Amino acid sequence: MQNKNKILIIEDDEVLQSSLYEIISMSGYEAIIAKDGTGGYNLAIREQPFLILLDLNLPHMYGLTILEKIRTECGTWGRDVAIIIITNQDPDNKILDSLEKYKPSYYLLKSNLNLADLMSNIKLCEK
Amino acid sequence: MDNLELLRAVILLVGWPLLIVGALYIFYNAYNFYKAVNSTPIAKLVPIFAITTIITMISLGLVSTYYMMSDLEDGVRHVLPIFIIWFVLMMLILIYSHRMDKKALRYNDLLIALDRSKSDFITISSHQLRTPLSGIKWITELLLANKIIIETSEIKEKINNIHHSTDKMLALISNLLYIVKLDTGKMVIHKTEFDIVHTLTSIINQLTPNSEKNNQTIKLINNISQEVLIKSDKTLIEEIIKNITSNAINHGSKNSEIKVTLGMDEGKKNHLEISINNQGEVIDKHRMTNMFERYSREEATGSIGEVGGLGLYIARSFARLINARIEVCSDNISGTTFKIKLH
Repeated sequence: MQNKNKILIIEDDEVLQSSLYEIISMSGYEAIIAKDGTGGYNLAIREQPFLILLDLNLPHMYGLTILEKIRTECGTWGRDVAIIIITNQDPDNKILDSLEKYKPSYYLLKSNLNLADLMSNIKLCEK
Repeated sequence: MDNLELLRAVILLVGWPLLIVGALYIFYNAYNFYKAVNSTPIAKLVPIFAITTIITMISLGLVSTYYMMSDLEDGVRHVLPIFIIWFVLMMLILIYSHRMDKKALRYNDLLIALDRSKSDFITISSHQLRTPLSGIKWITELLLANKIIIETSEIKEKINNIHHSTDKMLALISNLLYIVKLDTGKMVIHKTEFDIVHTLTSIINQLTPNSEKNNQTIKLINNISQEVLIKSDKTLIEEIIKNITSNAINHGSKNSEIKVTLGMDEGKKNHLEISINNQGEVIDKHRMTNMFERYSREEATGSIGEVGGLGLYIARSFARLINARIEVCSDNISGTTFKIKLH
């Protein structure tokens, strides 16, 4: 059962993690945090949030692997859950193929991203 | 056929092909050398030297042939030493140049490897720098959302400055990464359908804080419709427009208006045109040709730090990748206008 108010942050950098946690909590959502890929994937299955903020370069499991596993191995929730990729990696062909296949809601570059814009994107996913 | 006639036949049969190969070899090397030094004063001397040498060689061949044909005994006797010297010299040049080519190839491989290391270093360090800088940027945003700080204008201004500087540094890092990708041919083009009006509005919103520092306003004039869908690489188009608008902000007069106009190309009616106009100093022809060069001083003047002299170079390189064209016109009356013609 998808948790309508819960957002999972999978991010290994502590400063970015706490900034995301703060802005999401301030906006009235319940934020949960995972610091690595495997932990993030397990937490996603257990908590079934309505949205996942997913970094790509994560310890233990690469972000695109998490995206693929959620879309293909987690039933209806996995197919429907909104996933926003926030990374500092410019998309190459391999990433573009994966985006085409597993359709995250957004692919955002952290360096270009304002927290206010991120919240607007999250609001759009809610609809 | 006596010995002298046989000797003459050998000289002619070996000498002429060798002379032609030598002339071609000089021509080929002179051409390569000319290409390598064509921006230096020495370049003018290269064709003169090559043509003079080739004409001297052929003349010597013709005179020797005529001499041997008209007077067999004296001709062969005088031409033979010249022919031997010429033959040995040609062989030495060919052997030496073959060794040099091998050496040059080795150096070339080494240079390619060094260049790759340089690109990798820039790419890795830029990616590593992006994360902590994003952290600083987000923290300043959170601080600016804090009520206590908003009420203290001095602190607010300082945090705003940190935010602005971090944004500039992130833009500079992005530009460095784009340069590496352009140099290594790793720029990925990904076409999607998107609304260009929405893109323009979003870029204007992003750049408005920069223009406000100069008391400038950015106005969007849409001559088409509320929504204009195009299929192209969104990131590349965004970067082209962003870099040119930033340039207009940096070079535009204070208290002026920057106009971003979306319309159809007057020459080709079914093609879109985005023009970005600013009032300010007129750009002369010399500056117009230089401004799209990498690390252009023309561009960097007055805008250093914003784009580091890379913005217009990146804009033009990206435009080429998506078959778009950038035209510039500048005069006292209508100011400076950059036209981006999307095909």
